[in-house]
Amino acid sequence: MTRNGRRFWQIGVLLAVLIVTTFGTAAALSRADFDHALDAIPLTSHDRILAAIDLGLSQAGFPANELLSLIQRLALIAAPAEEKEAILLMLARALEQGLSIDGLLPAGSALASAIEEGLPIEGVVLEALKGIAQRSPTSVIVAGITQRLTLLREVRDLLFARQIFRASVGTSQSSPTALPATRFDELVVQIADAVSDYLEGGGSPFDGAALYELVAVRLRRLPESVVRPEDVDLVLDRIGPPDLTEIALNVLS
Amino acid sequence: MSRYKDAVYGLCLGFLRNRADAEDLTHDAFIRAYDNLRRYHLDKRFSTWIFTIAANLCRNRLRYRRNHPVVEPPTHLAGGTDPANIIAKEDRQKRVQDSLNSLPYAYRAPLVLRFYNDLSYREIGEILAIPEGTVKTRIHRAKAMLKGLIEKDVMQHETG
Amino acid sequence: MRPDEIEEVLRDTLRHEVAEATPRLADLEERIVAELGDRLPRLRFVDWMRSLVASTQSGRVGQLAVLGATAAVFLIVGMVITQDRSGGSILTPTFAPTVASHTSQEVLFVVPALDAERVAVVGDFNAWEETPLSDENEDGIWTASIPLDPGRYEYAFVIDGRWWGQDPSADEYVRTFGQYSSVRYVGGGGDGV
Repeated sequence: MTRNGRRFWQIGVLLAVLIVTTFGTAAALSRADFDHALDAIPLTSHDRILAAIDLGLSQAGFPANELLSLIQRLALIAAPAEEKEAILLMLARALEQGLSIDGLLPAGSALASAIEEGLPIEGVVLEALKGIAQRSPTSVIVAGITQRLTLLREVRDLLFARQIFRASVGTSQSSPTALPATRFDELVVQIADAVSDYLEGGGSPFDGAALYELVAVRLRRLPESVVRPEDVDLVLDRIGPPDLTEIALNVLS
Repeated sequence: MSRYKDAVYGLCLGFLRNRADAEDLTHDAFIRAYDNLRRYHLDKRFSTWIFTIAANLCRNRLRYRRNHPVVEPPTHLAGGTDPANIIAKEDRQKRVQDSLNSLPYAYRAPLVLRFYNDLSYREIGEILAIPEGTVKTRIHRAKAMLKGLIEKDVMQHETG
Repeated sequence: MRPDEIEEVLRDTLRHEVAEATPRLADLEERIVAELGDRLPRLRFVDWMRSLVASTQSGRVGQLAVLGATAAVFLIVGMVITQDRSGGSILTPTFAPTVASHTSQEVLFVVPALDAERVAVVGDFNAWEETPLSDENEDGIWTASIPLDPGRYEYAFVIDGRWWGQDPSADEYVRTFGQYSSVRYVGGGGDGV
């Protein structure tokens, strides 16, 4: 074969491979592929999620590849199955309502990253489900998820900065400022949720006093079985209005 | 349209036979119900409760009217040249309206609750605070009275 | 005139009289709503601290008492809901039952929706999927009793497909995604109020 001939041949093969990869893979994705991928995660609503994906597969422009990647990624993350299921349920719910998950998938990825970090995302997913139930625009829901995830990180980091730590599950409290994981997480969730609600409702991030008051009232209203009074005292003692203003500004910037 | 609004108004109109009064008391009934909400028990029918309030207000208004007759007669439904008159759909309806006006309250009230609000004898008894048996008797007599009044009206009409 | 003829004419006459008054009744309704509205406590999100309506009490008896005392907006809510019924989407109803645990309390949800055909509650406790309320005696007052473990729960009602987020019996209101939702704290002994 001549040199040019070889080159054309190489290009031809390359093109063929590309075409097969782009269209071939997409055409190859079916219900069975998702069924198999979902099997890797212990789910209580496997059938429901699969049924929702089935609905999606009939949509034009359904991001099948990206969704499959997400599911495969979730299967590999070391995190409680409920949290993974929560993310998938969110997507399933959107599909059930006939919405496109194009915009939601990146948020799904962000949530997956969050659970990899060990952030407690259940509340964030609940907010997303609320948004879906309200038929809010996807962009608004995604913005909410992003903001709330950022807040979880910010609040967690603030507590760390104030020497309040999260003891790993199973270890006993070695010092007064190392809280068992569930107690630590609950504090983070409640504080972050309170600040989120405040900001989404139009509250000013500069009003640190209002933010602090909001957080204090929330923490004190919660039943003892949800947050212990001594944990509440600890946190309220060590954080102040300027801290919350800083967090709020970080989130909004 | 709100079903309670019509139902309460219809009750008041039937009891009082006067549109302005009926509107006033419908308004008052709702306000009164709202003010007394803490006395409302969820296991009771809400309709029974608000009808009772309306019925009591109407009864009080009628007593007041009786004790305080006004020089200017109130605008009654049908009859006369008052512009607030209701134009009867047909002559027969007009006769029914006139006869209703003449019916004593004790007979007119259960009649309205039965044939406008479509309530059971038991509910009517609850609202008017009379025994169920009495409700049946009154309705029976009220129909007879009405029939008599209408036929008398027809006769007068025909004899001119 | 036959007895049953009397009944028919009577019914017709009475209905006709009310039908004649229809335009005036619309005004009347507005007047009533306006006046009840004046009596409503002003609940605005900005005044969130002052908007904390009533403390929660455990047990159904306690709930009903709280309801009577603080749900003074029943009628206004009922009439407002009836008046403002344009648009709205139909959400897919699914039932997500909550399983009662030994620490859970029965929490009563009440909605005065006098002309509604379907009322449901969505919230944190059912993953924002509709749990239907029922109106057994068809008097327009819809209820559901849901077992909830101690905690904080955000929720809202869906009335014939319309979102209704300001439950008069709520402890707080939250406004996110541009809509209101309600919050209840279910106590576990330490109410923290």
